[in-house]
Amino acid sequence: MGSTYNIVTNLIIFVPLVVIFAVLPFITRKDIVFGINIPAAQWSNDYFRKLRRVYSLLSAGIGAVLMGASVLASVMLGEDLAVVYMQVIIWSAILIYFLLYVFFWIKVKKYKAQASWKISEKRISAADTNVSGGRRALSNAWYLVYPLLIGVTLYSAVKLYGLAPNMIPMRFDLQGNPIVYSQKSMKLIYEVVGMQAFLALLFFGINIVLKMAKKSVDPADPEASSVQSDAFRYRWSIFLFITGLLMLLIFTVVMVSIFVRLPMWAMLYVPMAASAAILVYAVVLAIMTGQSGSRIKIEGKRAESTEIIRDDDAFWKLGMFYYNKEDPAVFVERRFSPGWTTNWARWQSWLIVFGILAMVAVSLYFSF
Amino acid sequence: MIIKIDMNSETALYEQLVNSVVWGIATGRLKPGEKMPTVRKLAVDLGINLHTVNKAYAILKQKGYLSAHRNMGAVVNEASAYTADEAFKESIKEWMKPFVAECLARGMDSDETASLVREAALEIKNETEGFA
Repeated sequence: MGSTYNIVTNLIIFVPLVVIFAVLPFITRKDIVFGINIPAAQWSNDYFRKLRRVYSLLSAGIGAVLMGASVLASVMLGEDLAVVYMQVIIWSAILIYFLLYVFFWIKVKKYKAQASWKISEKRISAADTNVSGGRRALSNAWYLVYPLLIGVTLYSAVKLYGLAPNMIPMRFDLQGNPIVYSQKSMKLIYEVVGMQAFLALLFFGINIVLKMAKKSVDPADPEASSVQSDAFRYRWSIFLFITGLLMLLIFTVVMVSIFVRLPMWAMLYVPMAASAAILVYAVVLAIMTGQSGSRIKIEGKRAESTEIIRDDDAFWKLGMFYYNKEDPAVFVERRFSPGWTTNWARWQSWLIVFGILAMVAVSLYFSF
Repeated sequence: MIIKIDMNSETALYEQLVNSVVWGIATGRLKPGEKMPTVRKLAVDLGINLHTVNKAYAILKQKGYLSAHRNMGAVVNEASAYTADEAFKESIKEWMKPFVAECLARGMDSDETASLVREAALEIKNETEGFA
C-alpha cells in the first residue's frame, strides 16, 4: 500500500509536467520559435517542425527518466533519505530543462542568422484603448472569500481545541498509525492559520500582478490578438483563484485533522486529489489558450505574415530573461511558455526576488 | 480602439499618439464619454516611457479632446468641447501654409490643392465604416 501510494503521488506530479514540456513548443505563438522572433508564415517549415518534434521527444524522455528515478527513490529509500533525493531530482530537472531550452534557442538563433527573412523597417507597438470591455483579470473582490475561509478555519479550530487530547498525533505512517506526537498548544493553530494567511496574500498579490502586466497585442493582427490576450489573462486569473482556494482548503483539512481523527483516506487522498486537479487544470488550460491566448479561437484572424513584424530577440537574454530599459512594464508575458515573467531592467523585479528570498529566510529561521 | 505607434518613425512618439487619438475621434472609433486607459497602463502596454504618454495626454486635454477623469484616467470629451471655432480655423490655416506653399511651388493651383484635402477627408471618412 505504501509503495502504491508513493508511485501514484509521483505519477500525479510528473505526468502533467512531462506532458506540458512535451507540448510546449507546439502551443506557442506563431511568430516565436524557441524564444526567437520569426515570420509567422515560417512557423511550420520543415526545420522548425523537426526541431519541435525532437525537443518534444527529448523532454518527454528526460521526464520519464526523472520520474523513474523519483519513483525508485520513494520506494527503495527511507523517508528522510528520499526527501533529500527528491531535492536532487528537482534541481537537476530544472537544470536539464534549462539547458535543453538554451540548446534549441541557439539552434534557432543560428538558423535565423543564415535565413534571409525580411524584417519590418517599422517597429510597431500596438495597444487597445478599450478599458471597459476587456476584463484584465478576476475582480479583487473575489479574494474576500480567502479571509472568510481563514476566519471559519480559525473559529472552528478554537472551538474544537477543547475536544482534542493533550498529545496530538502529528505524523502518521501509511497505515494511518500515529508516529509523531506533539504537545497540544495554540501555537499549532497559529502556524496553520499563518500559513493560510501567507498563501492568501501571495495569490492576491498575483492577481494584482496580472492586472498590472503588459497586455501583449500582436501588431500584425491587433484586433484579434487583443481579444485573445484578454481571454487568456482572464482564464488564468480564474485558475489562480481556484488554485489558491484549494490550497487553503488543504490547510483547513490539516487543521481539522489536528483535533479530529479523520479517516485515513481523507488525510491521504484529499491533498492528492487537489494537487492532481490543479496540475491537470493547468495543463488543459495551457493547451486550450496557448501563448497570449494564441490558441483561443476567434473570428476574423488575418493571414500569417511573411516578414518579421517586430524583432525583440535582443531584449530576451537566453530567450527567457527579459531585459528592456525602455519598457516601463515590470510584468510581461513569458517568451516560450504561457505565463508571466519580470522585466529585469526594472528595480521592482529585484525587489520582488529579494523580498521572496527574505520571506523564505525568515520562515526557515522560525521553523528551527 | 487599437493604437499603433512606430518606434522607428521620424515622427515623435507623443505626436504619433496625439495623431492616433484625434484620428480615432474623427473616424468614430473613439466615442464621446469613452474612458481612456490610464497613462501608466497605456505606457506599459505600448512599452514606451510614461512621460511620453503623459505629454500626449496633456496636449489632447489642452486641445479639448480629452478631459481629466477621477482616479487618474481620462475620458473622451463631448464634441462641444472641440468645435471648429474661428481661433481653431485660424491656427490650422497657419499650420497648413507650408504644405500649401509646397503645392503652389510645384505649380498646383488652389482648386487642385483644395481637392487634395477633400480626398484626404474622404479617405479618413471611409475608414469610419464598420466602426461608427
